[in-house]
Amino acid sequence: MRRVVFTAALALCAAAGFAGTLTRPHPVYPSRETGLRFSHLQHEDTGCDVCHPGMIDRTAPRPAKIPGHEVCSGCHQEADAGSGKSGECARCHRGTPAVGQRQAAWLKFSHKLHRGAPESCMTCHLSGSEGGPTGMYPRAERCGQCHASRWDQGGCDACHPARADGMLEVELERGKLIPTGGHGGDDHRAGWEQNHGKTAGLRESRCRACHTTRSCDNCHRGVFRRLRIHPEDWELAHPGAARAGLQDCDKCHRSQSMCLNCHRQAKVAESSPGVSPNLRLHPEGYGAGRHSSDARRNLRACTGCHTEGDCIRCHGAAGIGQGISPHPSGFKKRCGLLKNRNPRPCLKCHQESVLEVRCP
Amino acid sequence: MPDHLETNRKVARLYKLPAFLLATLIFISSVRAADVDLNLTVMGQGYQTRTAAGDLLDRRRVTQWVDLRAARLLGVDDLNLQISFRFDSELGLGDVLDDSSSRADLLLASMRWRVYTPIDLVLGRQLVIDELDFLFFDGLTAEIRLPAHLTLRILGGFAVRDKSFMGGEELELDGVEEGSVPAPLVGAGLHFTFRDIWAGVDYRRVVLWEDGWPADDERLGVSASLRLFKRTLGLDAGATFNLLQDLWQRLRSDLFCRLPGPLQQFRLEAGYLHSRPLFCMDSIFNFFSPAPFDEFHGGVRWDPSRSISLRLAYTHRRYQGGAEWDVDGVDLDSRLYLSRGRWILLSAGFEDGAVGRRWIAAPRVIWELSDGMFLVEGRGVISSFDDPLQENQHALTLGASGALTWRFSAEHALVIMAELNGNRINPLQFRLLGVLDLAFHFGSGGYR
Repeated sequence: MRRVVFTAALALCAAAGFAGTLTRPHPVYPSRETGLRFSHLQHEDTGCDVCHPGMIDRTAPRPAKIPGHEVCSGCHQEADAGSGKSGECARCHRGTPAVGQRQAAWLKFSHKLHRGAPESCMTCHLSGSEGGPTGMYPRAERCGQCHASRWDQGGCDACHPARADGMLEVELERGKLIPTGGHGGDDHRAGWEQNHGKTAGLRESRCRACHTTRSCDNCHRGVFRRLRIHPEDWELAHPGAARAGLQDCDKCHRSQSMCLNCHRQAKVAESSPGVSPNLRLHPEGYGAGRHSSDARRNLRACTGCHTEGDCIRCHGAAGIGQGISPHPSGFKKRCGLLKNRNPRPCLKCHQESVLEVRCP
Repeated sequence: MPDHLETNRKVARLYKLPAFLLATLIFISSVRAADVDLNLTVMGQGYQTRTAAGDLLDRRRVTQWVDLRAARLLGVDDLNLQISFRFDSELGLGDVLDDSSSRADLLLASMRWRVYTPIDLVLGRQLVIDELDFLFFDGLTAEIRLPAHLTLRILGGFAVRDKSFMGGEELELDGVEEGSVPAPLVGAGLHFTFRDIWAGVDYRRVVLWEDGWPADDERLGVSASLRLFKRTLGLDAGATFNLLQDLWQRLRSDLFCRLPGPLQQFRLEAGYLHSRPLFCMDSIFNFFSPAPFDEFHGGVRWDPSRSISLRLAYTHRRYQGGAEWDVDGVDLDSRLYLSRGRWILLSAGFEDGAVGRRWIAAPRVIWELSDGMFLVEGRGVISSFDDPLQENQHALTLGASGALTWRFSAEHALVIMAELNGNRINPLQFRLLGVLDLAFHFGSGGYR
């Protein structure tokens, strides 16, 4: 066992090391790779407009032009391409071809609209964040600091391009737009399938920015088995898992339709046509003993094969069933409350006249 | 004929005229809509396995979806339509099925209209998700944004059940035999949203269209969700009280915390859930004594870069009835991004307790080829289960599956998937699945 754990830990570290060498493009912002050595922080005192002239008048994201020799040489004479001094090139160039132009960010944004006081370039583009995940491109939280009302209303389409019906375009050229925990969209990375229900109720409007209701349907009212949820041997293994209950089958399946239909056809349900006694899933004597314990623990698992009628045969009151009461101790105190709110289920097991006497 | 079935028929007749008018309106307005997306999906699947009795279960099924989304109906901004139909045909179960069956379900048909900036109306068959549950219903929802970061939601209509007009058998209620009567409902919710703080109160009451309007479901839920300290700390909590049975139905709380400094790649999670299985009031199962359970879960997630994410989680579920009912589970989920469209994923799980032991490990590779025209997926699996309640039900399974997606145009794709498994009980199980996905777009397109 120790060897297995050690090997797994080793494999994990190797994978992490390997993953560290991979760069996953940001779907919204273009690559920050320029092929140049440059620090915005060191140039903080230089006006932004010196290197990025005209940027502030733009009304939409457009491919950003990287300043050329003529701009740099304004301050750094050695950057003049014509100077020809050996070794000077390497001061800026890293040996790879410099990128002349970047792709545009996949956003709706007008620099022109944001140039008024109190805003400056540094309100959004923080030079200190250059080494961060998005570099000097502002993270959405920064937008939300001023645009709080749009933020609160889940107005994702204020910044992200959306189609006519307001749904965001998520399959982008640089990759899929997947929330990683920023600006209110919860983190969709590992574990999201298990956790999404915890926040979906409160943030439905935010979910709607990217998902149609069909996205929910695909799993919660699905008609095919998703291997990430139910593995390959599920036809054989599912009875134990259903009884264990950790997967909470009823989040997606109603036992009386999904399970019972198939179990009847496979001749394993109580009401299957032509069920053979050899097919019984429960051991001998199960009905008289352990079944009550299993039913108390996870009644929904029972409903995969059994309907009310099966229970009523024994648990119905005398005259309807065999009169074996399924009610828990102390039920008499609650029976009046339940009957007053809906007497229909009581009448499935009790005759009305008797019920009036026993549960007035 | 029982009264409730007669009532059902009356309600079904009531649906016909509005349904016809709605269909006509949809047709006319879709023609004039600015953007229309039509998706047609056909899925055929078949598998072969053997039942415990040795019968060959040879199941074949064809399912078709028609999805229509239209934006700016009749040229009106923020008047959008969504319709989703499903046609499902069971073509046979080999020598154990005596008949085939088909059904058509209207999954969704709703029109959303932002009347003014603060008011949204949704009319038709729709899904509402809140702390109480997810619920399909036919009716009207109004969402009104109020001052002080509040939103009020009011809804009313009929719950969609299996016997509703083009309902959906997966909405059949457990333990309500032959009793699916029309169920009018009302609900309300008041939600607060401010930056990274969400909170809400939700209420719902469902009654039955019967003499005396017996109650079927009435619940009140409160929930809150917070993200603090630059979202390094998060709390989600909720509680649902069943007003018909005077019982707490569900209590939940979850906490996550991203560690500071050099350990910020790690996120710790912990949570608690208390749940009491309750059924709708029309079911006799409420009169038995289903045991509540408490669940404690925790986990750690590691995100060393945007390219890798790994989560290990542990769950312990304790039933109020005896330690011999407890269950423990461990789950591993990891994703490694290689390059665009290329991923390696590994999932593994272990479960042990009252109803036996199961474990599984399944690596999966996704590989995009020819600039996205083809997507190849491969998955291997090794799993084991041991079910002490059933005789002879323990096995080690080896399996493999492969899928090819061919995107033969920007909006059309064909998927073929084959799966092969074997173990001691079923030496050979075979599954084949094919999906044809066609999308069409009409209108001006573009972004807003």
